[in-house]
Amino acid sequence: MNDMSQDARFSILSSFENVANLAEDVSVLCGNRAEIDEDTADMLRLCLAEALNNIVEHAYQGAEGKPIFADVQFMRDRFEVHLIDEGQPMPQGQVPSGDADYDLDDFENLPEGGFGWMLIRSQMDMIEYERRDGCNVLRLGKELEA
Amino acid sequence: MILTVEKPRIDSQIAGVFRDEAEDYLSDNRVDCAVDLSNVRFMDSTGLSSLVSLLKFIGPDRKLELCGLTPQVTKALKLTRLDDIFVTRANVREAELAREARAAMS
Repeated sequence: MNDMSQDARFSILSSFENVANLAEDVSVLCGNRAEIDEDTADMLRLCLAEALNNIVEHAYQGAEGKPIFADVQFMRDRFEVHLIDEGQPMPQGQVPSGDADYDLDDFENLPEGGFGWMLIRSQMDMIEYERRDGCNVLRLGKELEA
Repeated sequence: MILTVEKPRIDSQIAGVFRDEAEDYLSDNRVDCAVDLSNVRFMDSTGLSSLVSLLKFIGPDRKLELCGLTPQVTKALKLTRLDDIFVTRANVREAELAREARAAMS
């Protein structure tokens, strides 16, 4: 049996409403199939919502009706969600740093953005991005506790 | 003033509207504000951004506190370290008591 067999593919058209629903659907599927607890499923939903919102907002620059795919793969000790879109590539061809090391005392300059990647980086065990055949492919992986 | 969010989520679909309406109210009414988040089961980064915007908007002379945080909201604040800049209260009652205590001190 192929260890990386694709278990589910979701296909939607870009809009903030559709991606919110997709994040929920995928996290429910992972909650059931990978038997992750409710807290972990909630955080997965959050990470997926962040990554998908970025696709709508940045890759597609707010345009609705563009294709987005989510492939989900379950393995013995982890699962992966691959998000694929046909929009603009990520800046510098890489995932933004999402640096949580900002200055809490510098009130005026508190960040009002950038929290999305901070959240994704704090929760996912694997984050890989590549540009393939004119598509963005973002692979998010989560290890399962033994 | 208690500002209760009745929606179950503050995400990219409503964060902007939430921030704009709250800022409108807070510019018309020069009061302290406690945001009651007890109905909010899901907050994403745009929700977090809207709270930071409100905190900056209200400025140093007034208080903006958060109360009734659900587990997912608590975790999102903690992971972004924003739990260090917001004063949080267990519930609306605690926020009211804190406001009364401040009034008694001044």
